Amino acid sequence: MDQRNMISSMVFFLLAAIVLMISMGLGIGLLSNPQTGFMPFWASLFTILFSLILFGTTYRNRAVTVRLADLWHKLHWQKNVMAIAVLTIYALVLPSVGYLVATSILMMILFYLGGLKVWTSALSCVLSVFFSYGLFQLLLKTPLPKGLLGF
Amino acid sequence: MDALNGLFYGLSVAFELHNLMLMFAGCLLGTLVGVLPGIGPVGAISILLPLTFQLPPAGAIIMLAGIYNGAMYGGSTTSILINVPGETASVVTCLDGHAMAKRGQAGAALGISVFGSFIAGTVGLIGLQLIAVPLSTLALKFGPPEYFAIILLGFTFIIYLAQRSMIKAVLMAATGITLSLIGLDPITSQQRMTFGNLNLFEGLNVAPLAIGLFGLAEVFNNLEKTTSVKILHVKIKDMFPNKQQWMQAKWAIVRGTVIGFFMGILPGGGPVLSTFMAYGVEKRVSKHPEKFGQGAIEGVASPESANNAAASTSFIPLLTLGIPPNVVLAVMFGAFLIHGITPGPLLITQHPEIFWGVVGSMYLGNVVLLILNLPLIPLWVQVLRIPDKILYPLIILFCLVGAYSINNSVFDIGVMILFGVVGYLLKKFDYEAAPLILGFVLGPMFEVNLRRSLLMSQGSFAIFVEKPIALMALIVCGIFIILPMAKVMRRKRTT
Repeated sequence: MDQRNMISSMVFFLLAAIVLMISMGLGIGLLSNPQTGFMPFWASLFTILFSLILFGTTYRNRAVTVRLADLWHKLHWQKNVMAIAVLTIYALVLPSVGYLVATSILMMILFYLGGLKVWTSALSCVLSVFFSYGLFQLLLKTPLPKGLLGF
Repeated sequence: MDALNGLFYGLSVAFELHNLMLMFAGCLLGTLVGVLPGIGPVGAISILLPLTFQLPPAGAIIMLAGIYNGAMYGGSTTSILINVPGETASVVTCLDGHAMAKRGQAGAALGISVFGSFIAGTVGLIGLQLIAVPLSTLALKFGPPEYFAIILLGFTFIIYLAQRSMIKAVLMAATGITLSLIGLDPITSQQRMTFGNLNLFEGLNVAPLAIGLFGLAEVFNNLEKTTSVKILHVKIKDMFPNKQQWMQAKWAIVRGTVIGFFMGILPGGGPVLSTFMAYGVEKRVSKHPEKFGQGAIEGVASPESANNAAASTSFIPLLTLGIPPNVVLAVMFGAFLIHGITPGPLLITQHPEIFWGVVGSMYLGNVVLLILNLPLIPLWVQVLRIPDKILYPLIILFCLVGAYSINNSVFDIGVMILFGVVGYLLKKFDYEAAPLILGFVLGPMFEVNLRRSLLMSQGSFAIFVEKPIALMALIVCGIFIILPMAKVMRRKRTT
């Protein structure tokens, strides 16, 4: 069985079911006077219908086999997990730590994860952070987060 | 303003020094990004969008149009030289372009691709210039039922022309519509799916979504792979196709241009599909179809002409009806809104400097790209030598700062990261992200026009049948919904 389709159809079904319930709470209204929940209701109903169709067709064609593990077979998926984790932490600490400090640490890690040596990572990190700071903060006047340190 | 006067006015806007520089910068950046495998024009425009925030609207759109056209030109370089398409619209070029390169004809392949792109792009622009004014005059007469039916037609085409599963395309479009509904109801101003979060009151922004889905997700997809590229060496003197090659390619360029011209206007069509269609048609009409895939110059000329013609004409529905026909133009639509401009039938009269300025600058951009691409190809090839371990962290940095600078909000960075992961998983699970973005951009228009139509008709669907344009659009929708069903039924009957 194509596990990609089975799992994704279930995810879509669940998410759409949640939206459906929310839309009913908002009020669907009448055709002559559609309310706030009207469009979310129909969009989620459509999603539920098609997720069921996807589930059904995948089940019927169960001779086709795609296993989830195959999708990440022989790939360095660990790099992505690390990158996503580092980026999430970055987004959480950015307002308090500030752009320069947070981005320097992030870039250092990303360059290092990519396979650069420590000193090359440090140099690439400094260059990229100061270039982006100069471009966005100084040239394009984007107020980048200053953080607790004030810069 | 008629088309000719409009063009002269547009050229006067395009020749203003700052606009000229922005167009040049856009073409340069677009070609650079087009050359780099992985990040296509959608990702490029999304990531580079923040660079335009401080610019006047006309300059910003001129720069973004330059990026789009530049990416279309640049994408073929990697297809021909390393057999890796710089962007999806250059996938087909790999087949014969790289085969030509392996036979020592890389220069001719690159040359015909650039000349074909130039000719087709210019023809597409003439079409844009001539069709836009009458179409926007007609569109001024459209009411909510017509708009609803045309957007529905757009969705139908997007789903019908989906490159993978149609069921999955419907799911993506419906998800895009649902995401676009987050925020305040446009008619009653009531909160919807905001969960009390202040950041969601104005809804999600298209830019962090697009940067995540097309920029960050591409980095994630490439990060886990370990591939090394082999670049062929090309001498500048080999870049001009000889007379025989021109004779072989001339009708392919014409056919590619015509196909691209119409596919560009069609919702869901655009440059990518036009290349596949042009290649298919070229192979079918050829006296030597067996040569396709072995290095036929027509196999390079036709798709490359098609994608540039489509890139030019895809501006027609956006600028005249306010309906983006493909995902790149959907992001461009977001860019218009960020600059406080609503694309649509009133654009030509209310902001002629933007409409005609973009048209004029695209003509100039075509010439600039011809000049940039031929002699600078050896330089673009050097760009390919930038190691991934330096390139990807830099793209991530641009994605982060780009997402932040839209609203100066860390929340948008979070949205971008979330959709980066979603985009990565969507690709793994064989879903296309393009219908999601189109659903997201067209969703609010779809909702408002449907609800207004129902309010006008007191809940009667007859309003869509009473208006001829709406009726026509719905009939075409019906045909394109029935067609795939009939195909499935026929297949079942034969098995």
